[in-house]
Amino acid sequence: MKIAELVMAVALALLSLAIMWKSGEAPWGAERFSNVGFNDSGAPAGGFWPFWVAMVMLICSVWAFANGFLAILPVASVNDGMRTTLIVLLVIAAAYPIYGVARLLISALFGEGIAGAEGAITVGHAIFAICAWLIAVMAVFFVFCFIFSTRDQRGSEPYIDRHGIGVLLTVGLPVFLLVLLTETISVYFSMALFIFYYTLVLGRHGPMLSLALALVLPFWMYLFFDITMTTTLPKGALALENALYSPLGTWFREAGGLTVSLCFLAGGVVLVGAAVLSARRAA
Amino acid sequence: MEVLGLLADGVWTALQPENLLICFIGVVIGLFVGAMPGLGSVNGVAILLPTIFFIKQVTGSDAGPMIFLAAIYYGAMYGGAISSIMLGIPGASTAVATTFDGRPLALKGRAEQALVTAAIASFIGGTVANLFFTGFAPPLASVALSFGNPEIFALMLLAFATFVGLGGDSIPKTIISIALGLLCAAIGFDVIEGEPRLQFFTLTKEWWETNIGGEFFIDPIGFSRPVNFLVLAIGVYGVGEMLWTLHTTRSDSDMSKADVSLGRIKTATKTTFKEGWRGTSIGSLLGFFVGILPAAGATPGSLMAYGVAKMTSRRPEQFGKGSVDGVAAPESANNSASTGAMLPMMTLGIPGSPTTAVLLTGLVLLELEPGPRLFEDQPDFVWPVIGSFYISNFIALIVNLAFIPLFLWMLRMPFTILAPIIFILSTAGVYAATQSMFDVWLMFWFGLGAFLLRILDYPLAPAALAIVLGKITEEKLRQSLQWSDGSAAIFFNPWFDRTGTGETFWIAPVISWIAVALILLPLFSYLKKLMQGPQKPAHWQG
Repeated sequence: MKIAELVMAVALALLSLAIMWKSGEAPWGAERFSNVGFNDSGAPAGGFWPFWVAMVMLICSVWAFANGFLAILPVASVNDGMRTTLIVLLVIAAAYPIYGVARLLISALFGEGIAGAEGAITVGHAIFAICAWLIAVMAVFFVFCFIFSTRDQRGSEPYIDRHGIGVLLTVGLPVFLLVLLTETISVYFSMALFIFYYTLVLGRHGPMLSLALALVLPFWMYLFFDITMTTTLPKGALALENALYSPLGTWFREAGGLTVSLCFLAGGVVLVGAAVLSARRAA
Repeated sequence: MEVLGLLADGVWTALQPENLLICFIGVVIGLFVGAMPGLGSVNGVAILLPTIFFIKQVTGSDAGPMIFLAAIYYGAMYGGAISSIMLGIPGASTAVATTFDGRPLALKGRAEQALVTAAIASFIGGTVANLFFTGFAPPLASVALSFGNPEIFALMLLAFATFVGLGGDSIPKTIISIALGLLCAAIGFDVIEGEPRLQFFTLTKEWWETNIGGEFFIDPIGFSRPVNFLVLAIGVYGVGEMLWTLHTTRSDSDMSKADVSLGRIKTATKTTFKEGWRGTSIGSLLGFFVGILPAAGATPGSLMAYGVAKMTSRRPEQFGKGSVDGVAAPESANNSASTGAMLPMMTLGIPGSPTTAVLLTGLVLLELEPGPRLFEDQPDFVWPVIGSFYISNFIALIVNLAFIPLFLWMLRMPFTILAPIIFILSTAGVYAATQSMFDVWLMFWFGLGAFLLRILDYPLAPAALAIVLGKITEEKLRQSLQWSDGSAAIFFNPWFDRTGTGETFWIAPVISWIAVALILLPLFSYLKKLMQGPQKPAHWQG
């Protein structure tokens, strides 16, 4: 769990860095990071907002990482050997930004300035480089933490236990399939399969009730969304739409509101019947 | 006086049969989602948000859908208490504090006392807050009408700062959550200059198609617009929350028995007024003002009310062992806070809680512009909705007391039937609202991400608020900076000459400095705590 905290912080920092990079993509072929500062009229340009928000996010990821790190290895537990290793690692990690800052200084002093001239380093580049370096530092600390912390310090509680993985596999994966199948076999059939699986396998409600739920609930959804709200939900492959949904939709619309209400009620009767029957069988 | 006339008109409109029916249905749904563990007001409102188009179609007014959503919100505040008392599991995070004394009362065989106290305290809390709301909203809206770009940006800053300062979660995690929401809202095109930005995978797709060939498996067209709030909200509160509930709830608990005959309800009502008046008054007052704060909302409101009621009680030793005051305080507070959270939402366009963020999105979907102009331009919308707050509260009280046995029966509905319904409603709801499979996929990934972040105690409510406020925050920031030629002094310095006439502007600097103070305050205590070791944050949703 404690290591997961560090991994998540690094992942979020990488995400922030990617967003910073993407924000710096100036439109119409302009140079990278030329849009993250102020434009000629003194107002922030298009990439300004996402770039700096992402930077704040990155700094907070570092902060969260530091919290996680100190939870595993409190300052008091660091001995001399660990300290020396850490300093060596940090010096190695610092080589890149030192090089970057030196280039920035040289370009500011002797080059065309730091504000976006051809070939020069912009402020955006510099900030990006520093942020990239922060992630490198996080990686160094991560490795350090892994080497020097004891199993007790890392904690025995896993990030996701067996039960959690079970939830992801038995529920998360079927939800993934529910969305995936929507595009091929239409949302209603996909729902029916999902409900049937969920109630029968996970809920152990018996085949009769599961089947009734799997048939009636999607049917109700169909009546509500497609017929009453006239919001079409995905109908899957074209052949299915032509063969089933088009005639069905036309039929319901011609039949009118009363028939729709009766169909709705009929669904309720089926459900209640199935529930009563399966309750009786269970008793 | 004018306000009373408008309110009377509003109540009258809300009493029209169709609105009354909507109110009733909303309250019943709210009671149900509130009572079901794992579902709260925010899940209920988010998943049912797409139905507002249907309600608008049927009623022909903009007020109908809003009355419906607000009724769900109220109902959920009442419903949360039912499972807190009967099962000992809070039906929603807003009812966590109700378990402290509600459950012990039920275990003592006085479940009906706890249920009745919860219902009556909720009603009083809600009604007191409605009176405050009616009194405060019009003047606040008229003050807010004079706000310019810097003032609005300062308000947004304050909203985020309250989250950081008062949210109670880890500060870096809260800020990360806010940043994620803001970035989701920034995808697509830049709001001022119309330049494309953050259109992920466009270059990857080009590269893939030239170098590898064949179609790229992600269609980047979905990133040519900001992430829809609904997609995030349903992903986080529908799919993510469901996975989380399944992950954390591992066994069913026993339900207490309640004797809900008319005679027992009468006695319990008397006891409520005799023993619970102090908690009710504290909860009603405190809840409203805590609810107004953008970071707070009903959960911290109810917890604080419980704390204050215990602190000021003459018999604090009874708290936690089945005190009537201990049920009345949090229950009146969560209802009061839910109305309080509506105040900034309706008058300033800033939601006070995740649920009001969903309601705000509802306003936008109905093509109404949230903010102070709403009171000026849409009195036909605003006052019936406010009127419906009073009506919903009353209906919730009656339905709650009359149908307690029914709700107890419904609580027996297995979660294994409810959960798949939530999943399919989430899928259908997102598609119905956006008509895009891309968004359905995005919802799924958000849900999964929310689940993984939730395990590590990342708060997700700030992200939901930030995605709603993202566009306006950026727009106002950039417009203000354009005004001041890039100087941030326009937000912080009252003597900054923004009009060129030497006029001073106090509102934006005052709000901005309060925001800065709010951000800095916990930093100090945080540094102190850092020395003492890590702490476990509490979660909330309502």
